[in-house]
Amino acid sequence: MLLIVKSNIVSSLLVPRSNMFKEEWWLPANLTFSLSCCCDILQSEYGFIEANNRKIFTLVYPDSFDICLISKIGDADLYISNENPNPSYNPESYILHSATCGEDILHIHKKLKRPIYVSVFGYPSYKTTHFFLNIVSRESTEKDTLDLELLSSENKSSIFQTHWIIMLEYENQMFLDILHEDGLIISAKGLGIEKVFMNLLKIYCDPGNLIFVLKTNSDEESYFITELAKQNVVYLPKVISSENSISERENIYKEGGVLFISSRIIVVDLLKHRIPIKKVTGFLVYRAHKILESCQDGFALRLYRLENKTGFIKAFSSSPESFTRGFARVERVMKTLFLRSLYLWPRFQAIVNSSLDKWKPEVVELHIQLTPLMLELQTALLDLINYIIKEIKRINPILDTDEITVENALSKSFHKLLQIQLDPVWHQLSATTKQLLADLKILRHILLSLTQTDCIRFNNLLTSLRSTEYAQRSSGWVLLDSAETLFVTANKRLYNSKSEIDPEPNPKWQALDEILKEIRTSSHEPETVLILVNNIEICRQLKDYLIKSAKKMLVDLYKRFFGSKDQRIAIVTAHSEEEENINNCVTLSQQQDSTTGGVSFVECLQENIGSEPTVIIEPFKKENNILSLPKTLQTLKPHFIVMYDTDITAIRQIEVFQSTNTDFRITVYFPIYVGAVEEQAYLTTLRKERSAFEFLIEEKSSMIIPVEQDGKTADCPELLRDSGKSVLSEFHDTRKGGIPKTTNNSLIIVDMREFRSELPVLLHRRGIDIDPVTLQIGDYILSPDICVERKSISDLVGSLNSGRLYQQAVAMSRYYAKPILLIEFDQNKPFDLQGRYYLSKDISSMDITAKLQLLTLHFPKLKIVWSPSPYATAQLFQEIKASKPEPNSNTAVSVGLQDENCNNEKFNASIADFLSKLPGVTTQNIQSILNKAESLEQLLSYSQNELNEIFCNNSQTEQFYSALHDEFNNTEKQSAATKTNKTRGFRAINKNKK
Amino acid sequence: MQKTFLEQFSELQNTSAFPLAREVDNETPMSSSAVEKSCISLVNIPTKNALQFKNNTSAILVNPKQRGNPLLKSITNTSWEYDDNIIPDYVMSRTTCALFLSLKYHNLKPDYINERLKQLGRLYDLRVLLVQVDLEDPHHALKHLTRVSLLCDLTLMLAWNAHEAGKIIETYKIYENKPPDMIMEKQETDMQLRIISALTTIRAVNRTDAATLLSTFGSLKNIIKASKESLSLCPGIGPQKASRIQSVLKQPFLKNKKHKLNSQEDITTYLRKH
Repeated sequence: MLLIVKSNIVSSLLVPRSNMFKEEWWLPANLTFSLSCCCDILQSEYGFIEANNRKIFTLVYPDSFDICLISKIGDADLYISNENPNPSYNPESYILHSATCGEDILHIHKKLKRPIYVSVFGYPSYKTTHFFLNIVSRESTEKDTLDLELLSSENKSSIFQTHWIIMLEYENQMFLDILHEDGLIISAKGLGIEKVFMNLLKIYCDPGNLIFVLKTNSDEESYFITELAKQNVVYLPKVISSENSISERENIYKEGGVLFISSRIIVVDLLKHRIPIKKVTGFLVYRAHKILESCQDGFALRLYRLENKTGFIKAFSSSPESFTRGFARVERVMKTLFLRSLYLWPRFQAIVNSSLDKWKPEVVELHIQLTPLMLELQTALLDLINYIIKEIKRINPILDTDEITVENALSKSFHKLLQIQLDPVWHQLSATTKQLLADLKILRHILLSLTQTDCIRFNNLLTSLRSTEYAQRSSGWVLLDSAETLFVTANKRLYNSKSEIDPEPNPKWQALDEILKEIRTSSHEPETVLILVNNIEICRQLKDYLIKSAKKMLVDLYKRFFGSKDQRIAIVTAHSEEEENINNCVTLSQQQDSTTGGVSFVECLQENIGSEPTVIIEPFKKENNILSLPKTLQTLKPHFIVMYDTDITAIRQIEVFQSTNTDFRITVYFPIYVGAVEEQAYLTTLRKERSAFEFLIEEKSSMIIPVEQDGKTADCPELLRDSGKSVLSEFHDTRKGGIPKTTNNSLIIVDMREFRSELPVLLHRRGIDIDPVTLQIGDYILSPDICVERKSISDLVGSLNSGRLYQQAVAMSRYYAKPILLIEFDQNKPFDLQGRYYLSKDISSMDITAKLQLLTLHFPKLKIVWSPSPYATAQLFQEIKASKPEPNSNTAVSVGLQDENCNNEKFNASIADFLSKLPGVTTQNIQSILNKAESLEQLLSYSQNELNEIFCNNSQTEQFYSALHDEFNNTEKQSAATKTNKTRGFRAINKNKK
Repeated sequence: MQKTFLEQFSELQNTSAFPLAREVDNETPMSSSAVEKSCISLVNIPTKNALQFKNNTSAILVNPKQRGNPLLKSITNTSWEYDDNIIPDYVMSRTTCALFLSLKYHNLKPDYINERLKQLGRLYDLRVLLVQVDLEDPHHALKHLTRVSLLCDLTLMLAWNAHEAGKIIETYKIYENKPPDMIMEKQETDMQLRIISALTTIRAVNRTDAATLLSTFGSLKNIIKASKESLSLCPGIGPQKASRIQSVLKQPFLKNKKHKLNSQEDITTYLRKH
């Protein structure tokens, strides 16, 4: 039994690389014994090769072992390397070899870095060579023979525990592809890319490696680490965050292993030479589609490739749609990743299809009709959404609104889509556009709740929107005819024809009832039924429904929402208590009532699932973690699953789970509304993924990838650092990007937060060295005098309106002789459109120009630089810098921390700032206050009349006086302070964090 | 009881603000002194110019060279008049002037702007270089002008058509004496919140600290008068923050006060330092 398991495992370890050799040959037992009787053969391969040819195997088996090559016909030699994936007889290409005429045996120690590449070479004097390649466990031969029995059994069990999660055929293929050659894998959602990723991590979990993993989130990090710990991996990956101090980080780098790291830290540490770049084994990028959004990751990889030409870069993505947006996105992503191969794994790929089709779950699709009233509501809602989308397009002709369509508005990722498109330009939209977008979100929410919640909650939601207050605030859809239909019909659902309270139940509930009944009757054993829903609210709703029955539940709800006021409050509080109890999923046990034959559901804890049939209701993503479903499936092993809502990832996850667990068959029930938005949304997602893959396949076939794109040779154009260098000096040769010998390179000090933009990368490319520090003032320091604050148009508008720019200008002109405000345009738009600060038509841009002018009036020293793109900025920076002294990072950091060096002001800056914020002090009177009084203490001693002489304004004096002298009540303040804390802007909070 | 203007004015004269206001008037920004200095080098400009500006503060002064510039049509909300004696193209206020340049013209005569700048020198506090972007591909020219403006301390403003350019000139005039409130952070109306936000201007003091301080000491007065020890007893405020708060709040307003040697002790410490 054990042996079978073992051989299964090892077969995934040792796999022939070429496709022509598919079948695996197993040595008969007697031959094994003839070879050496006291060792275990883990695996044996039979094969033949032509003269002068090589066959290469990859080994990832973690323990020590021997490789034993026996030539049956001809003579085969053995070459082994763990760095070069293609070892040959060339002495530089292998680390171990054995080229005897007979049996070649090589010992591979545990400490040797995995994966190991084994090349079997056919000696030229034989036309074909037939050979056996045996992998022999070393452990048992090293130990005393007396303990053999004991040891070998231990050994086996340890192998058993450290086994790889059994991978399906396509997963195996994915794994091997990426292992052998650096590349970008794009897989369909839910196909289990995380499994492949984890196996890869497992191979590399060794202190001999130094591997960085980019773009994982904390959920995934903890998932990978706990899963690997379960498999007895000794050297677990570590997470490096800003909590680790610099010296701690340096130590961790020296220790090696797999490190999850945030992109900001890695860029900074690479620039500061804290990471031994030459020793880095490789980089793994988990969410490769996000690499272009922030430039830090790309920059990190660039810095790495500049210095390290041998390490690998492997990238993963499970979001094919992200690659279809924008111009030549895949190509750009691959260029930034320094990758040449692209692997696509759509669901319709042949291997995926065949491996998932072998053992499919049984699917029962139930088509459910919407009630006529629901249909009417749906039509009205779609009308309204259509109206809003038209409005958005009308007001914003410049905005790229191709993606904003009614069909997309139905799909799940619409929020994300809007965010990606509009975040960079958010400040440039008019208030009306923002309101329209907010309304669009509300309507989408209503549309979803039409099928998801019950009619009472739905009606309640609508009534809350029907106030005059909302009508004035909203963009006006409430006044349309369709909105009227919406309100009336929603109300109709609550009453029957005799206008008695008779709320309409959801058609899906009935279906769910029938499904559960069918499951009960079909099987005799107590079965666990897993119901998968969209979110926790539906969980709760279904629980109520199953416990109480539809009628009672709805009437209860009706009483709660539309009953008398006192009653409502009482129940609402009770409800919130309930919320605390249920955290993520609901478990119900079915109890057969023997007298009536009916079934009642009782809520119970998940731990004590007993002999009774159980119903577990769970959302697709617990705590927003996409990996929660496979985990649940693994622990519950349910035979019946009800997909109450549709989710493409969940469906695939179930498919994959079924294919890996072939000992039982899952039945999946699929109740779906026909002709409803729900169905349409599901189909849209499917179609979009499919078309995304088709697009990528097309793209892949026509993509031109230069050989040197992998950056492993010296002449990769991406890695050159001398662009623009020749303009200034002919003699500098920084082609090798040699950071160590950059005595000639000029230096720019860059604020850490600026690494999100593209400019630092471009500056680095121009041969300018970059010193990342946290700056109090400004974004870039070009010389001891010149300080630059960079603003994109959207930032400019935002910070002019919020007052941030004013503060920054004050600070910059206080400490630097030449403060510069850099206004950077969007390079993707024609320059002549750039004069419009706002993208929306219904708001005037002159407002922003005027504010900018006011700024220049108050800061005549502040220079404004207009730049069409980051490229132009980089060039300009270089020119400005030429023949200027280099900035010093220590002084740059301390600027703003000390007060001494603010040289150009008459008054002490910190006290003036303090004073200017006090009530009663205005920009007009502050000068006279500072002139007439000596200090704050003196102001304190003045009476109100004396103060009035300074202020010359009664109300201001009064305010100021009471601010200084009034006692405040304790309790109010705390709450007030915390309140404002919450409402502060996003950017401001960011600033505080550092 | 109605006071006559004279009475009120004499009252005003008695206040301490009056002499200061006069002082300010007499001192007149460095620009006018700069004007006088530069007049020595540029012989043909009479000194009375500086005075003349003051008389015509209500209108934008336009150099006759700008006659026929379509941007003048867009200046509708303020008056403007030609003035032979000014060096820049437009003078919006005593401290603000502008040079106008169309990129098309700049492409034809790249030396023109250098000439004008040489004449202008360092007159006026705020020298605006107003560039009308009327080229298909303005980047090269703009880059050149950016460098020029950095070298000569000009503030570069871009306009995409004549109307916008006119509005920019006009706005400079309108905003001549406008306080920067519009581009500053919105002030909170609540008294306590304003005091809290004032306290947060002290580095190392965050909002929570400020709130704690105010609730422990009750009023701003008590905070200012509090000893370092009692400050550092507040939760979240250690001795370092406490000394920081004190050093800011007890700071004299005027900077050079620091170096005044008041007592014997000061002198000895001063001498020891140097």
